[in-house]
Amino acid sequence: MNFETIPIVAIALSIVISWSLYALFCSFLHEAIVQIKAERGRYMKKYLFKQLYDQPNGVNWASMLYMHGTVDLLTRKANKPTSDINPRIFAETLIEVVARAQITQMARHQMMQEEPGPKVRMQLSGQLNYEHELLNDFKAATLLLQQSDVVNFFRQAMASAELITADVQGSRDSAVYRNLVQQVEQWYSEMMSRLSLWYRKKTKRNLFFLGSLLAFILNVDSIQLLEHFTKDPAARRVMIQYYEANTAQLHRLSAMASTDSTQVYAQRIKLLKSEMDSLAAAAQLPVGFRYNVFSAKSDNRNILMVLLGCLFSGFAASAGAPFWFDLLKKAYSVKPGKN
Amino acid sequence: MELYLPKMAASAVDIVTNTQVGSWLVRTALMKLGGAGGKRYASFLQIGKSSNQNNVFRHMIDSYEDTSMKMVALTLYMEKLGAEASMSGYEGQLEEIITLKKRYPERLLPFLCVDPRWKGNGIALRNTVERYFRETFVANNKEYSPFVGLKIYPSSGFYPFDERLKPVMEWAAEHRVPIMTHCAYLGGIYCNDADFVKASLNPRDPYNNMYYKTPCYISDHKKARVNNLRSCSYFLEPCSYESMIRYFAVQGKPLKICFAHYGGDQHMLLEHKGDMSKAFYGTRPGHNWCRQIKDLMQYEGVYTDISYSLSNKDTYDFIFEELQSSRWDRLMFGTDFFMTEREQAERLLYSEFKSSALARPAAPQTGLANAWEQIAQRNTAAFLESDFYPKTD
Repeated sequence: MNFETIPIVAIALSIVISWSLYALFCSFLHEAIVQIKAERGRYMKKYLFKQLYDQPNGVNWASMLYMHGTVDLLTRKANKPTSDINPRIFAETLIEVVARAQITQMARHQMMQEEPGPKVRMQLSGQLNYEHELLNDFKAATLLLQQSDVVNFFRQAMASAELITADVQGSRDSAVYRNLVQQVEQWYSEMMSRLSLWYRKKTKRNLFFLGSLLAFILNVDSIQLLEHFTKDPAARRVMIQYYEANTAQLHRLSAMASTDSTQVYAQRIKLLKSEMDSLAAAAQLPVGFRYNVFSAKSDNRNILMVLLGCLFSGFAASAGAPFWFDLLKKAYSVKPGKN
Repeated sequence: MELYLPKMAASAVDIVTNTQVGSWLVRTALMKLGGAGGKRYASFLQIGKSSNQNNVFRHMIDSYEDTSMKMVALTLYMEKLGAEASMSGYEGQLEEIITLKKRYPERLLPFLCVDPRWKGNGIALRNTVERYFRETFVANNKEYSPFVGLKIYPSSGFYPFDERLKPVMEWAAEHRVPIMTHCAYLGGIYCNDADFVKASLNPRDPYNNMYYKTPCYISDHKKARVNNLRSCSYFLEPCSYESMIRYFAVQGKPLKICFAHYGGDQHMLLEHKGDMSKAFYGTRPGHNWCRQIKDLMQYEGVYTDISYSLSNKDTYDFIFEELQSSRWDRLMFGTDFFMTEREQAERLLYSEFKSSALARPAAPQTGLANAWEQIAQRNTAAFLESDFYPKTD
């Protein structure tokens, strides 16, 4: 017994296979656009700018970080920021940027030369007792700059680093610095994992819009496809046989990393398009430019139904190719007669 | 962009111009449909969006073969222009320019923008300015102040005689720190907050202890944006500086102040022709701004420059005549990069003017070989010299 003999299962499989191929195509196209726009890097930069904007002190620590040579050298162009800053590089550069900032230096010198008064001055100086000026400067920043979310984070990181290394024998400076870097690295890693989550949601939304728009242009109308698979057993057979013949390759494509170049994605889009064209021809699917609502072959279908069908396709694209291929994998793992 | 477009449109332009194709499309549309203002924004997009400060500066210095050329960079306080606060923050902008100054200590001469709304009061503002100037750094075995001058941009919503600025002006006069002020008629950035503009038009002038009663909000256009631009002319017009300049002149410590753009190329041409037929927004509608600046030059320390205006080659004759006049030591060279990019590439602008100036004689009093040395070296050196930027040979 196989799926083709159970019409309702065959119809469902055919539509899911269509969606998975369509979602794969949309995700490749989306990824190529993301690469051209350097969108990941921009997204990361945008949120780092947002999180590290220190309004009370009038600076954006992220802006200064990106201008620092260490991070700047990772960027291929000013308008294509890197999407990958190593946590250690981030932490060390941020500490350096804060310590060397003009406002930090000005605050330190103001403390030494002017108000608040000798007693407070002595108390503050007592806390700046590291051998290395970088640590003294960073600590001074946490004590002297105006209180803000960002400065409080720096202060907490410094305090934690000092507490953890309170009993350290030998060079305290290096132990404190190591721990301070670790604290900042930890924050950065947490931030990046949240950012990945937010970016995935954004990608889903973009895929929905891209999928709906493409579906409208190319007539990838899920409702029409469902009707077609319902009426045409040969079409269902073609789809299922295609999937069974290319399972490994399709699953591999679906799992491809997103760090490949634009040229690689362009090649994949071309290859997939060619395969889908052949499949559509073989299954006589009503898909393509010549079937969209603006063409003569559109069968005068109700525009609202077409839009609804396209929105379903957009939804399918937004779910992502891995989702549909996983579903197919599970369906085939419980296939009747499978050993 | 949010100063001139609705927020959604500004956001859309920002997104579209993240790619080169999108940037080209928007620039082309602006240049074809936006008129003079559109071209200006197009130049901003081309350079401002594609580069950070480091790259903008590199782009500029690469335009000059002469590696001894020094560049004045003007910071700008944009936090109170009626749009959202800037992404980097104003102190962040200063940090960036200081970082750049440390990379190019000899070639980059930053001016610190002061705005009366930056700090809580005039004393705090002066103390902050002084701290920035005195927080020096050492490079190439030489000590440098991060800044060499001050910049004000009154059309962003304040008068130059604002009493919160008085302590800073006194400090500047004391230390001979030069001040640059934007002065092109209806040009540049302005405050787009109508309520704020209306409330700020008639303050007390601390230099003569009188209320500045004449200005009245201009509302003759249907668009609020245009009314705001016109009303901000009161903040910017040269005659509004007179009480302050006279105050310091009388004290024997003249303020060194440069009215950039000499009122704008159109006003320079009107002055050259002696055309007094036009009326302008401001308290002296019959006087073009070039004339008003010339009137202020009766006081020591008043300078002007030809930045941006020189992109209009019709002004050359006027400029060279001025260099031979009684104002021979007050005129300075400038280009206004990157605003002028939409008119002409920086390199061409500079080389064409320089060629013309090299062919003209300097004023006899200077003892110099040609007008170029006068306008781009002698006069600029005199303007820039201060306790924080000593004269060098």
